[in-house]
Amino acid sequence: MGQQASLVCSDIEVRYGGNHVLKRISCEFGPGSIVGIIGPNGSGKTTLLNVISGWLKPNRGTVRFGERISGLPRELLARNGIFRSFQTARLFESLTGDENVGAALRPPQDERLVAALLLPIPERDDRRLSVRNALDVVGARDEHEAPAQQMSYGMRKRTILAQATVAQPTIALLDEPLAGTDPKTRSLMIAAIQRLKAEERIVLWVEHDIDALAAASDRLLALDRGTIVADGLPMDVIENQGVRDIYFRPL
Amino acid sequence: MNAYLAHIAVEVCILSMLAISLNLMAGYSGLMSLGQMTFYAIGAYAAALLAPASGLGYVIVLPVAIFLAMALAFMESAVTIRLKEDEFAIATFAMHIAFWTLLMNWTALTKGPLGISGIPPITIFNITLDDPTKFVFLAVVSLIAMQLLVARIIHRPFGFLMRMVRDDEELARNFGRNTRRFRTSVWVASAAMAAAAGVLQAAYIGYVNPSSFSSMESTILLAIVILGGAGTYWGPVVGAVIIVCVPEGLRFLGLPTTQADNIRQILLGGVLIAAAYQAAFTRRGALSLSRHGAAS
Amino acid sequence: MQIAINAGAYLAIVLLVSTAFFFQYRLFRYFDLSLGAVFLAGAYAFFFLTSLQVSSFVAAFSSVATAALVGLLFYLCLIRGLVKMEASSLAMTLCAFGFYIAGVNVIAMLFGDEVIRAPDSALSASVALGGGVASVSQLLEFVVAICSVGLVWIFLATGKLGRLFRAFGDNPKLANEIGLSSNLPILVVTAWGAALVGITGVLVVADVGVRPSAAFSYLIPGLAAVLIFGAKSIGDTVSGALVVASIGETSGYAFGQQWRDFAIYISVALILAARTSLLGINR
Repeated sequence: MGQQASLVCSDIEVRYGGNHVLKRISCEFGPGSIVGIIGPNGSGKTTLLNVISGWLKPNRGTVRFGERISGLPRELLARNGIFRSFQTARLFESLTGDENVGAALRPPQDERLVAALLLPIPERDDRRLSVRNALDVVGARDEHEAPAQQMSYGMRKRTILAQATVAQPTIALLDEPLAGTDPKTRSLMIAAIQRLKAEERIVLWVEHDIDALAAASDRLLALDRGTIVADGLPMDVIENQGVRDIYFRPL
Repeated sequence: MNAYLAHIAVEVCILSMLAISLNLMAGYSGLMSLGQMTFYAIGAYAAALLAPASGLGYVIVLPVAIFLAMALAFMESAVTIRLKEDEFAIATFAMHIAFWTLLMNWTALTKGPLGISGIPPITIFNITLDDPTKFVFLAVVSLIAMQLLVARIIHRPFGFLMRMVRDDEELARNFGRNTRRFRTSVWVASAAMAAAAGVLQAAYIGYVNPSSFSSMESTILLAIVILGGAGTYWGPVVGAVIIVCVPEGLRFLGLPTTQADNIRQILLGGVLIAAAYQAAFTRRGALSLSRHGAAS
Repeated sequence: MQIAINAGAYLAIVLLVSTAFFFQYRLFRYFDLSLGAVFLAGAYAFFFLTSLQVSSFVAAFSSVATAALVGLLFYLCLIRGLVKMEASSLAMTLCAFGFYIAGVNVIAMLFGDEVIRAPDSALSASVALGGGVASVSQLLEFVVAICSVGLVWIFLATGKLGRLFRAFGDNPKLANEIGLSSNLPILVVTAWGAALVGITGVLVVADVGVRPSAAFSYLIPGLAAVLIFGAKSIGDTVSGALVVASIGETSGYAFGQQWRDFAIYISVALILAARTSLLGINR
């Protein structure tokens, strides 16, 4: 995949079980930006992330990052620098915080059976260090030895953010990374997201917390019912009457 | 050493090896296979067909048996590569019962239900292992070797991959892991181990027939692994010890052999039911039947 | 003609068993292998009663009732609990398998491993048909299967039962929460499926005989029928049964009867592999 390339979605259409989830969406994300995505439930935000990360093949349209990436298997995209997190704070339940974050590092070559049979146990000091640093950044050092299933919800969210940090991704797709966390944790996490910003990195994050989005994003995309209704600077999008109408629609 | 005790020890060792092979797949990696007996049978029948007929020593027979088992495992993995856990179990079960039907009906090769007898014993350093007190040493050494192999695997990065996939296969893919290749690797390794156990069994007993590898035996093996503790290091051995020794105990109490066998199987059926409940209750359970378990 | 008779009888068996699988799969999304125990319950109850000189009519009726009872007890005591706990499909399938293993062994302990056949009765009498010979059992299999499919279709297409099936199939969590798993229609359907399998057991033991290990060769084709086209409707299962019966009979005819089952078993694995490739947006 090209460095300094833009992520380009063209005419993405997704139909799922009779629902028209994404209606010919086109957008472009340049390197070095953090883009927030807002929209009511069901507007297609997660589906868009699914398409970009290879979890879903669009019915129509393509995703390009240098070359075409739509239709490629998700593990290939992940190995080539796409990081994706889930709304449900999904982690490896029996693995510790350390191990979960370590899982987000680039898969080592010796993770194969043949290597297990022939090679000695490898030194992993540099990887361990990256993991510790990432956990520090999100303030999650204390519970790093507990298995995920014993973690509090806030701790899980922080661990996921540590994963995003340690992965050094080219494209980071975060699905509601702050949802459900308390205000104190939140500011720590917003700082961590801001630190994700890097010259060759594109960060897309879906969130409902408009203030957080405004604080950490260069750009905001508003989705509603499968189409983009606003796209621009956070302040402009928030002030946009169309966006306000969507969020404050009478029930 | 008492020949009877040696015989029990040999049975425990061979069953342990078989359970260890399934534990690698189902316990450590979350791939619930109901067809592991296929590879055990390949080992046993390879020994039965190759050892006496061609006079090949077991030095040749063992690698051939392992190779055949690995080849079949590779093919089975290709067929089932994207199946979810319940379909995966049914598919492995179906493939196994198909293989068993083949053993029963391809009489030209396998002599069907009659089985093949006259399998020569193993000879090491000019000692012929033709009775339990001699064979037991080979059995124990083989078991230790297999456990060392498993220990090596689980402490390497591959072992970490196993834990990831067992917890959540889709999430492992999300982090760039090639879980197709993983499944195939585990399956092939597991098949090789089962085949080795099969070769030993055939060489020990001197006779094979399809009934030892029936469709239920394979599911029962999974129950044995669960009983001893799936995904634990000594679990398969514990399960094997229980399953071999309890019927022997019942026999001492005067229960006829076939009845003991039936009771053993009924108890193992109960183990599966209990495991299902435990998995549902804890959402993980001994089988790691979690919401996002392997093959889901 | 004889070929057609045998094929028809086989198709009938596949239809009966697959209907029972269809019910459990459509409702609860699992593979109800306990039906193997139900099959044996029906067969051995009939064998037992007719060996005691009970009239075949009474024996048949009682055996089917026994089979229905076994199926119902399995559901009430084991499956319902798992459904309420939102157990995974694999857990429920293994539970069913465990029940089957226990059941087969109980039968084996009581009756032994050998093939048994009910004493000659009205059911085993032969009837000349066209150029061939059919047993009354075979004819009954066919008749019952057709009637059964018709009944299922009527009850599912119209009214309450259909809605119940759709409720469970579409949103099992919600169905659970409103207590549908103990709903009387579900119990009726479960007993009905078990009764169909019980009838199959009775007719088979009266005709060719059974042994404990033979249950799978009657069970797996039924399972395969449900797998081929999925279980959206009984029509899918019927189509599946037609395909499975064709595969089985053709293989049996071409390679010898003993290969019929082999062909079916291999087909199950291939069907699962194929439908995974065809289904799914992106696996």
